[in-house]
Amino acid sequence: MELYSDIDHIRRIQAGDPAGFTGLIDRYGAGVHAFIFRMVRNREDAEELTQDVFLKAFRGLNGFRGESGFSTWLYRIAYHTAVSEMRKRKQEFLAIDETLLALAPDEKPGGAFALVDEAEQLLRLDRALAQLPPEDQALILFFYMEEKKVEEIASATGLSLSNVKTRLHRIRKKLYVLLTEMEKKDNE
Amino acid sequence: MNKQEKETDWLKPLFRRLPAEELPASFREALMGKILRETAKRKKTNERFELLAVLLASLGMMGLAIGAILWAGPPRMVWRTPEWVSLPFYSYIGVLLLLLLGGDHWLRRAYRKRHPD
Repeated sequence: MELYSDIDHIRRIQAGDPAGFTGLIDRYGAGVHAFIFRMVRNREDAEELTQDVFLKAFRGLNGFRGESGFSTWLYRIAYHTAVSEMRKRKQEFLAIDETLLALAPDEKPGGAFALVDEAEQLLRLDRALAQLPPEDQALILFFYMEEKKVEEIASATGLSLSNVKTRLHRIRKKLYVLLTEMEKKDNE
Repeated sequence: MNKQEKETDWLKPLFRRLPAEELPASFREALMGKILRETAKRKKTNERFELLAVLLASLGMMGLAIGAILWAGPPRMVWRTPEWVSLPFYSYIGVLLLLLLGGDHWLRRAYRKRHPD
């Protein structure tokens, strides 16, 4: 159990002691950085954007009313920062045929994917993630990497609960299609 | 997706094994440096705003006073010179004031010598 809660740190900062922010950096820095790094895929950019996220949080702390948890509020900032950075890059993302998605089962790709070693599986997953639109990447990373609940994801992204569930379902199918496509290409 | 489904989810173990990029050791220090600089800057800006507010309020009051004088005319004032009989009293008060000021100055100097910090 942590000695000080997020609210304790926030109250300290709101009372005029910025050193209280170190507690929040220690608690959330690694998670936010891991999420952003997985999105932008560049060490320097990830560090700079993580700093941006924390600076924005610090500037907005006086307006933080605690309606949602600090973690959710911070990840909302991280989500918008990472997604807008990805949009700025004007990178093209893969559009997957709707019929392919409809046919894709909601289970692990079989065949060659199951047989390749772990490192190769992770490499393929990483490549598949990179082909998803930024919003989809963020959603799936929140769910699996940050292990956020659907309610927290909805609050962080501004989407409705049902929308988050539907989108997560579609993203899983997209990943299935992408990983299967990679398998086919490798076999050719 | 419920908890049980998440447990049997094929993507979950894969994501868990994805290597995480470590946060640089200097991250906290660099970020806190920025935050402290920003706090100092914000404090300075607030002080400037407060000074500006005091200045504007003073100018407003002065303007109001000048306006009132122009509107109602200058106030009638009678200048009185003190009578010579009260001169010893004022002299006594003046000398007392000088003595007290000198004493205060001497005591402060002695205190600073004993406590240089």
